[in-house]
Amino acid sequence: MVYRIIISHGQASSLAHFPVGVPTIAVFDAPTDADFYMCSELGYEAVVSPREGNRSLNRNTGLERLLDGTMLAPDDIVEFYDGDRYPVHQPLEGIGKLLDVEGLDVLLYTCEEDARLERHSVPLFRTVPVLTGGLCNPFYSCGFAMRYSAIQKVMAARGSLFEERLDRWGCEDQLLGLWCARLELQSGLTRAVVLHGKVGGDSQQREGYRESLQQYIDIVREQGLPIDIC
Amino acid sequence: MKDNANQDIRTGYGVNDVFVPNAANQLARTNHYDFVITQEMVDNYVAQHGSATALDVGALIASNADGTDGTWTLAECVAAPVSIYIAADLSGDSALPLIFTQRLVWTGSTYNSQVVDGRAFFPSGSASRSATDGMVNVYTQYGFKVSNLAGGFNFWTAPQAPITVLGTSGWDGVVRLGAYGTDSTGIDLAGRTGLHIICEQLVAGAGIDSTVQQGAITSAYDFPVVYADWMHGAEGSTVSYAVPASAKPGLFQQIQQSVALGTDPVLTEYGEAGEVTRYRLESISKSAGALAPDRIIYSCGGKTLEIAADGTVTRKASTQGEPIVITDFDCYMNGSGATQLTPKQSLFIDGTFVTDSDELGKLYTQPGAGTAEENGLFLGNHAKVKWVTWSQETESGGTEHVNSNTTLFVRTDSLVEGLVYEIEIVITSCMTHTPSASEAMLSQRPSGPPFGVSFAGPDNNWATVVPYRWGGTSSSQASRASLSKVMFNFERDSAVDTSEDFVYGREGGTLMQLATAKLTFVKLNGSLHALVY
Repeated sequence: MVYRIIISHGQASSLAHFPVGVPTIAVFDAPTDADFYMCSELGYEAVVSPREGNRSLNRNTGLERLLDGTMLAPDDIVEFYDGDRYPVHQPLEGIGKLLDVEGLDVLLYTCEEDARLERHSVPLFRTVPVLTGGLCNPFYSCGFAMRYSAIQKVMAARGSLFEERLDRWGCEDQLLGLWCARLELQSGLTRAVVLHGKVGGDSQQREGYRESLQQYIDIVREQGLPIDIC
Repeated sequence: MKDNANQDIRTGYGVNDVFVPNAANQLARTNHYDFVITQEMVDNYVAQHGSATALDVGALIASNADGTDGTWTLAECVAAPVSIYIAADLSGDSALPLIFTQRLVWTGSTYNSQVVDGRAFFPSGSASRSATDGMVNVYTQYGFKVSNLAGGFNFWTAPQAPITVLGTSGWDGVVRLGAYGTDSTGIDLAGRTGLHIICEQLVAGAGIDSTVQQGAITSAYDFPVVYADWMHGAEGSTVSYAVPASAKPGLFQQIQQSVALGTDPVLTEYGEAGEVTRYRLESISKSAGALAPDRIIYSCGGKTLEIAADGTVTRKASTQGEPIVITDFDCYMNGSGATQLTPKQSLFIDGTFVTDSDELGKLYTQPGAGTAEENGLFLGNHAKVKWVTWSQETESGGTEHVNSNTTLFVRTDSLVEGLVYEIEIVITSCMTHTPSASEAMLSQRPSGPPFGVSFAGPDNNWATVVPYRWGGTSSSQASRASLSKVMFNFERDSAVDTSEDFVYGREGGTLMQLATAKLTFVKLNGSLHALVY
């Protein structure tokens, strides 16, 4: 069974682009009437984030709501999406099959323009295993799927799936990548699921990026996470 | 705190307690002031110190209510940064200048009853080193004179109330002036290469004969002045002027001042179609009937810009175009008196400007192995660096100057474990081109090492990493913004294949000429990691 968590900030118009038929929780910070209307039309459960602007908190909140209302099996899959990263391509057989075939715990979806593809050779429509133990690993949270058993392992090890102290832009997914590597969870980067938009390579231009990275490094050191040389 | 009724030292001091806010002092509206220099304080102090030729701000703050000298102890020191409001009118020609150094700030050397503890703003805890800026913010609705300009001070003043500078001594470092009033007596700051002045506007200060504008710039100035829009939020060394509709008071004077400093100020224009043009100074002249030069002409190719003394900028081109924006006003420092067209590079470390060209020279020299030495950039706890550099300059006569200092060496032994560093590389160039003509750009850049940051130390010799290439070999590469090719980690002493590791300039045609790139990195567990996300 696949479940979907979408975090959205003013992206009501994108919600309808997500594939139908997947139980979905949409977490909004600063929601508008349009957000609630779209959810009611699409049958999504709408959750208002307890605090604006913290992507980690929003994802954790969505996961918490899911786990509150549903008994998940270890093999069940939870997808996480940013609100404007809807799939423009996905396999007919579903992502569950992809995870099974490749023996993966985590499946990282690529975007239409994706900086990771300059370092990782992924054939069209295919999936390749990737290492997520480096500081700048390919674990991007714009769209990915994770087995519930893997989620449980991470939460047992560190309390929550995403680190809520990383409240600036970026790095919360990189940290999750490091944890997955530490817990020997297998990740794959796939072009079988392709998301709308462009990702990666422009973080240097963001204001305050150094400060985000410093938060990240401080937590990596605090949590004693080993760093691979990739 | 002192018990001086005229001192008004208290927290939560509001601007409305002192004066009526108006357009000239809007900047000060929301500030809390640590100290206020009131008119009564000044009047009483002057009455007790009849022979004073200058007013020591620290002594004023420490003075007793009757104006006699007061005392201050280390325990009473207020830690910088502090804000001081000058509520006394000291703008007149006969008013005494203010001294902001002697009794005001304790730098960590011998304590002499100073009022403010500024030790954190002096890297080595000693007045012999540069003070970072922002140590003391000075606000006023009046102009005043400053005796002994020193680093670490921000003077928030409007053009209607400029600061005029006298004297020659003081600390090195960064000084920010909202408005800098030039003085007919001039200021001889020859040799003050360690002082870096960032000011928003130049205006005629006290004592200027308005009919002779050049009287303000006859002295042998020898310090770098950067004209920055810092009071209104824009960082860096750019000032924007919209052409042809608006006039910018002070632009003419800024150019005059820059020329008098022996520099060659360049105006960069971003056109409507994304083309970039850098105008070179052609002439400074007088219009018919004028007593002093009142026209400055810039030209590039078939286009000219004319700047009038009142700040009006007129574009004269072969074809009529849309309004354009001038966004760069670069001053290249070449030393006192000499007019050369070889630009200098500049480096900002945590906002502090490294001014000594000899110091800069060491940054581009690879540290040797074995013994400790001075070459390379020592970062320590300074996490942010902005490296403003240039590729090549072409004189109007066609002579080319090519920058050979293209590699910045970062000392690995100076890096703090776990501290994320950021180096912003800003590359300027003096060519007129369109972004799509990347081959043309490259053909003008002679072969040689690309721009880059190299990590090296006396105890190791790490491979050069992150070479910066601007442009690229094709137009598609030229427009790339991706930094993903520098997404790597490596261990010391390992060889790094740098053939594919490039840091490209920013995407977008309008920014191709002033290409920028950022490198973030951290030293962790014995390895150096470049951080790209």
